[in-house]
Amino acid sequence: MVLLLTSDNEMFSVAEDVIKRSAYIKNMLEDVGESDLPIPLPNVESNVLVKILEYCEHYRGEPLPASDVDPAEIGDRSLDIADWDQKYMAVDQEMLFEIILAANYLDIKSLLDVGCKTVAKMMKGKSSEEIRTLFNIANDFTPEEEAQIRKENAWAECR
Amino acid sequence: MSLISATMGPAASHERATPPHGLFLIDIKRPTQEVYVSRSIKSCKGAVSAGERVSRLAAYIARESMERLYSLSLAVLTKISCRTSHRRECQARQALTGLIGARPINLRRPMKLEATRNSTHVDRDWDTESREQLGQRMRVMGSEFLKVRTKYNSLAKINTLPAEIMSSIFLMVMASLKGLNPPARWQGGRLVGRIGPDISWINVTHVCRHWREVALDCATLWSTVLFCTPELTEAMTIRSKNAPLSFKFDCYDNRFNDVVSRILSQPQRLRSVEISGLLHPALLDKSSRSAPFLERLVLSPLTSLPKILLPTNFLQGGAVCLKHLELQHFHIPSWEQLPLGPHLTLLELKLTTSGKRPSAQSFLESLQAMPLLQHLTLFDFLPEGDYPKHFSDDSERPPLPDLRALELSDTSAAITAFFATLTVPQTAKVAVYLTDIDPEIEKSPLSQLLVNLRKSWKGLEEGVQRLILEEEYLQKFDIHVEYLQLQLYRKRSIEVKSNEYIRPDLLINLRSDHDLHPHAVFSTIAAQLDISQLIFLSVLFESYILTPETWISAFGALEGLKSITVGHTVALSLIEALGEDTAFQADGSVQPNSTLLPPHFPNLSKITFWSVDFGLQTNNPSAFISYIQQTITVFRRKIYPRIALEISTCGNFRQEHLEQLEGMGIEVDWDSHNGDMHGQEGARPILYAEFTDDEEDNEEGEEGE
Repeated sequence: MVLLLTSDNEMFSVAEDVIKRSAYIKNMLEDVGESDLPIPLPNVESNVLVKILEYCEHYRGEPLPASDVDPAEIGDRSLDIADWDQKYMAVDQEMLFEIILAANYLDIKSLLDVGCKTVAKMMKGKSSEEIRTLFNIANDFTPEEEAQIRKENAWAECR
Repeated sequence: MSLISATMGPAASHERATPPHGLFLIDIKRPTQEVYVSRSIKSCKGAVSAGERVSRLAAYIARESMERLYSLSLAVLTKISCRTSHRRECQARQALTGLIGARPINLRRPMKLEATRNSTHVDRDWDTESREQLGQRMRVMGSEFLKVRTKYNSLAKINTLPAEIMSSIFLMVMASLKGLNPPARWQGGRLVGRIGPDISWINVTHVCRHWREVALDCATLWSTVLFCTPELTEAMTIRSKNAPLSFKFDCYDNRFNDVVSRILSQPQRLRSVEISGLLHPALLDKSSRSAPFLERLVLSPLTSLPKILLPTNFLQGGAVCLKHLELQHFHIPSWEQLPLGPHLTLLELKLTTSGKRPSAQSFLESLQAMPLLQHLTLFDFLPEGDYPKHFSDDSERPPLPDLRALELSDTSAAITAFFATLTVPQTAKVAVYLTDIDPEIEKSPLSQLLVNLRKSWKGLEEGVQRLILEEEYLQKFDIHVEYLQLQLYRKRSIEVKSNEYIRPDLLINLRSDHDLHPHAVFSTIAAQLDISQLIFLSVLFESYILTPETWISAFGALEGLKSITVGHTVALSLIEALGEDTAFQADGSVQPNSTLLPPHFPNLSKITFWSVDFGLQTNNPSAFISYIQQTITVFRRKIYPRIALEISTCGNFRQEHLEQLEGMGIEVDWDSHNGDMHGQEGARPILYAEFTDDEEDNEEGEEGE
């Protein structure tokens, strides 16, 4: 078992084969070897770790995804998300972004990918104003930038 | 930034008329403008003296960075009574001077502005200036407002994601929109729909400054260059910084010539280039330099224009990563100038002409140097001379181990020599276009070609399961040429999905602008290839005629043949052939020794008429229907399965014909099409009906392309 200490000082005892989906933990275990000391996760709160462990538990035993993806190849991937992953990601935005941040910190590529796809799907097909509303973002462009954006909007009108 | 000085008013003449005034900070570079109220006067009231208030103000100023003070155009921070004594003014000046810096500060009473808690009152005499001031105030407030918004955005949860994750999300949004654009179409005399790609992903750069910054910093987001407007193309080229570029450009608009030329003049940045349409030869002028990242190059100019001469220095600087090279409608002076490399998986030289064919030795060496090659298409580029002797020895044949598709268009001699020398993997699909054909096909090189093909390629070793013969008009160089096309399929071990077009395992195209005899072709095919296991046969001729004898001699004895689809000109002869079973006498009675007679389409259980005009087969449609009915109910051996009919896109077949046939117990599947055949172009037939046969793995329903 591996001990994990979250930022809010909660201790979790997790099976090694579950948490090894995290490349960060996996590498740490390989580097440090067996230890009774908990691994501190200063960037992950306990409620988020619970969610992360749910994911790792679900995919326990599944082969780990391939290593780094060339950014250029992201362009060849679709936004299809497996059913279970979709249900798993049906959380509020706060938790969604916490999961993504934690997946990034813990280096769980498949989870990070699903998280990014979920956000991408939320954005897809929306106007900039709709995206602002969706993520509670204010328009902070200067008038000059607004003018440039209007110009860029005309680019989309192929003629 | 200029230092700020403090000014206190008013002037003596206005002293009585104006209420107590405050302390103002003025940008010394613009002394007439920067007067601003920012803090409640009341909040500054207290027991402390005016001098202390000024000191506090000064301390406040000192705490804030000059930049912030400047950007806020900070103004009144405390109230200094107009009755402030000179001594206190001096104290205040001293305090500010000490804290802001050594620069002398002039404390004076404000002249015109009345500072109150909630508003700034403007004297009428100062209209113009006050408007300027208000304008400035609006600008400043606007600027401040945007800063607050930016700060507000920084606290949005999504903006806590690192830039690289935001970039990945943007890339995913962009990727998901690739190819989703419905094509433009004409509707009510107008072109409706988007002509170019969907670039709505660009909206992510219009959400807020942070997102825009992230998006503009992500070079990959811009590296798949799009061609909606030249401005967009230009911007993408710049925003992609040094990232390798990919683009697909249908060149029908010369507005893009400049920007395309600029892109192509940076071959060191190219990753994937696909240009079709009005490709101007000048665009290739700068293609001589090294293209170290280039993986895919497709150039297919309009075939209605003269061929483009491939520059002699084309990519001679090197394209070491090149995997995919397609050149169509080019004149290629020599094989040696092609940028062939060890990573090539696809080499397609289509509708090309060659100035000089490679020598056999050079050609083989090139193929050996491309061990990863999976697709090879060559038009008139095969060596003409003899191949080196030692290559024809099986043990030393140069391998094309990964080859999956081979397409050769050349003289029968050149193709025959190719197959005599090279081994083609059994799983590869082969297509040949014979540009020369001898009317005396039996004596022609087709036989030898097929002999060599069978030696080189074992793809049909298990026999042919499907055979389709049809007439095709194919582009050959600058003209369309009529071909007789034979599509042969090997026995499949997997079930084919309905409506799925499967590329034939062997495609043979024979130029039929000469006097081609289908009978001779059938004989040659039957002699050289094993068609004994044929199950599905389609003869979709529209001008060639087959005799009943040809049907019988080529296919009559095939015991596995279950389904035949016939086109317009061969429908009648098939029915005639069926009726010429030697087991029957002219009156329909069975010959006494019929069991010893050769089989006559023994397993045929379905005939599909496709695009057949029933009115043109005999004197009238009814006569033809009667002929069919008689043939398959009377002149059909009882031990043979009953033949069902499918009538698809046919002319002059009507309800009464259906009833007539069904009345005789013939199963008919009619698509209810009974229109005039002239100008009709129906969908291709379902070439192979589904059969259930427990003994054979042949439950396939496939539709032609």
